[in-house]
Amino acid sequence: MDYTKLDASLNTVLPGSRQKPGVTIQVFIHTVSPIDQPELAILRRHGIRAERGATVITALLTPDSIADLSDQPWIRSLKLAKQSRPLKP
Amino acid sequence: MKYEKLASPLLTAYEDFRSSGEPALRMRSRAMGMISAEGRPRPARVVVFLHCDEEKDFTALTPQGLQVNQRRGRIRTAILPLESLDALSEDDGVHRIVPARYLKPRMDVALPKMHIPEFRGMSLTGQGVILGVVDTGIDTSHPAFAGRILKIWDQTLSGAGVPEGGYGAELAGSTFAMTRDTHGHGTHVGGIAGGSDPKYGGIAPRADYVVVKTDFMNAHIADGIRYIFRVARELNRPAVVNLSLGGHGDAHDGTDSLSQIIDQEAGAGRIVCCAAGNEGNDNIHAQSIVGGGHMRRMRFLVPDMSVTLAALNGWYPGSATLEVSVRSPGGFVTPYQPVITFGSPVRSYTLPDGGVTIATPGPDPDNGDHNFWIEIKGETDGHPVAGGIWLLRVRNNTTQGAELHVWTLDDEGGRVVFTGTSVKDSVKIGSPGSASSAITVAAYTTKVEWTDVNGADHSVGFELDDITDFSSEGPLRNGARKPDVAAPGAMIASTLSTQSAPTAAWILDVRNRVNAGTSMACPFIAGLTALLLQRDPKLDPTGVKALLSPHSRIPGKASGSFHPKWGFGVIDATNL
Repeated sequence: MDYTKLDASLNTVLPGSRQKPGVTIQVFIHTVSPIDQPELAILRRHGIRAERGATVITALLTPDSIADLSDQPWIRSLKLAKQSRPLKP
Repeated sequence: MKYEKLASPLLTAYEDFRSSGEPALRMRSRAMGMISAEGRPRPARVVVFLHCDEEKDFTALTPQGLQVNQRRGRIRTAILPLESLDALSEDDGVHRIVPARYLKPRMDVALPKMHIPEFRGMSLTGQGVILGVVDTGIDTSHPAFAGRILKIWDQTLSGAGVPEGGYGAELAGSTFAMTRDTHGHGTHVGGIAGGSDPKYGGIAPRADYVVVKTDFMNAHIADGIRYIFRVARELNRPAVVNLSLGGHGDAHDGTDSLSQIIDQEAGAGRIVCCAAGNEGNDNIHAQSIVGGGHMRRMRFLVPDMSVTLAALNGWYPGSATLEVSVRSPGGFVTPYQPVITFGSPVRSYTLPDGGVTIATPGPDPDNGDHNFWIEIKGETDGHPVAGGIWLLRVRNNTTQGAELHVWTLDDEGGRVVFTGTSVKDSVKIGSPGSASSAITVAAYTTKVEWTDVNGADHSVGFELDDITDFSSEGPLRNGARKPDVAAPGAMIASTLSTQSAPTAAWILDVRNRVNAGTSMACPFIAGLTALLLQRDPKLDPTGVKALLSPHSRIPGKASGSFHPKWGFGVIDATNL
C-alpha cells in the first residue's frame, strides 16, 4: 500500500473499512497520464469500466483493490468520493 | 361538517352563504372562484384546491356534484356545489379545501427584471439544445416539461446502469413513471431553466431535457455529467448541465476530482453551470496565518446531541508543515500530530468525551498543498458528538509562516460552525462551483412577497434588488475569481413537483411553488446559456463567460467590476 497516493479523507476511512468484510469505497482514481490498453486491463480486473485516454476515473473499490492500485506506478492518486447536497438555504 | 378542513376565506364565504344566500357569493366572485347560481339552473359552486391523499378516488362524491380535474396527486383542482362542502369535508382522504383565487395575468418578476423577454425576441427558445439537470429528479408528469424529457438516468433505482456507470436505471418514454421527485428540488430547478408556463415559465421553454436523478455522491455526479454530454453528442446537439448542488470536502481551489472532470468534459457546445452555495450566513470557514514558531487556535461549536460525525477539512501550502491537535469541550486534548509521510498518516485518539481521528499526509499531488482531515465521533459508534466548544490547535515548528484555511463539515451540513476571530466570510465556494470552466452563479433577490395557495401573504427579509445574503462568497483559496455572475435566486416561482410535499406557504398553485437559493439562480444562467447555445452551438465556457461578464453589473459600480459576493454582478440580457 502506498499511503502517499491516498488523500487525507480516504486515509481516514480505510482502517475502519478493512475491518469490515465486503465493504466497498467510492473513489476517484487519478492517473499520471491518459490510460491505454495495459492500464485498462488492470482496471478491468478490479471491476472498473473506463475509457481509453481517461485521467480521472470513478470506481467502487474494496480496500484490497485500493491497496493494489496505489502500488501501480501509473496511478497518481486515489481520492475518497464525498456526499454533496442539493443547495437550499 | 369538518370546519377545520376549510380555509378561512372559504369558511367565512360558506357561513355567509348559509345566512345571506346568493348576494354573499356575488361580492366574493371577483376575488375567489365563486360562481353564483343567480339566474342559472345550476346550484352555486366554488372552484377549489383539494389537499388530499395522493391516490384518493373521488368517484363516490360525483353524485354530490364534485368534479375533480386530476385523477391523482396531493393537491388537485376541483369545482363543487357549496352544498357539497359538508360531505367533502367529512371524507377522511381530504385534508384541506382552499378556494381558488383570481391572479393577475403577468409573468413572474425575475425574467422581465433581467430583460430576458427582450433578449429572446421571437427566435431564441432553447430549441435544439439539451438542458442537463443533475438533481433530485423531475416530475415527468408536469405539463411544463411535456414532450421534452428525452432520457432520465435514475441513479437511485436498481438496474443495468449506463456506459458511464453500471448502476441505476436509464428511463425513456413509458418508463418515466418509475422515477419520482419526492424532494421537489430538481423539478423546481428544471422549471426555472426551461419550463413552459404562461405565468411562471422558464428561460429556455423549447430546450429538451436529459435528467440525472442522483444520489449526490460526487463521483456519481461526475458520471452524470459525462452521461448527459455523451447523450447530447450522440444527438449532435449542444448541451448545458445544471448543478445546483455542492459540498465543502474539497480544496476550494478547483483541483478536486469533480472539478477536474468538469474541466475535462466542458468545451465547445458543452457548458456546466454551478450554484455558488448558500453558506453566506454560515460560519463554516476559518482562516489564519500561523507564523513560524507560533501556534493558533480555532474554536468551533458542535450543537448538543444532534451531530453524529463532525469533520474539519484543513488546507495550507505544501512548503510549510503544521502539527494539529484537537481539544474537546471537557478540556481533553489529542497529541500534536505532525505530517506523516511514511506508512498510514492516520492516528485515532480516544478522549473521555469522544473519538478523534486525524489524517496528516504529505502534499496533495494535484495542488502540492497539505491537507489534514479530522473526524470527531461520539463516545461510542452512533452516539452524538459531545456538544459545546471544541478547539482546533495548530502549531508551526518551522520558521516559515503558513496561511491555513479550514472548513467544517457534519452529517447534516452547516450545523458545526466556527466561532471567534478566525471566522472568515470568504472562500465559501466549494466543489463543483470552484471548477475553473464552470459558470458559477450567485443569488440576487428579485421578489420578497407572495401569496400562497391558501391565500396567505408571505414576505421574507431579503433586501429587494440586492445580492441575497445567503449567497456564498468567493474567491477561491488560490485567489481565483468566483463566483462569475449573479442571477435571480430569491424568491423564485417555478414548477412544483406533485410528488413532493412542501408546506403550503411555499405553494402558489397546483403546479408552481416558490423557493430560494443559489440553486435557483444557477438554472437561470443555465437556461440563458441554452439560448446562447441555440444562437451559437459551438460556444465554449470561455466564450459564455466573455459574453456574460460585460453584460453583468454590480449596482452602483462600473461594468467589469468584480466582488467576491457578486462576481461580475447581476446579468442584464438586453444586449447580450
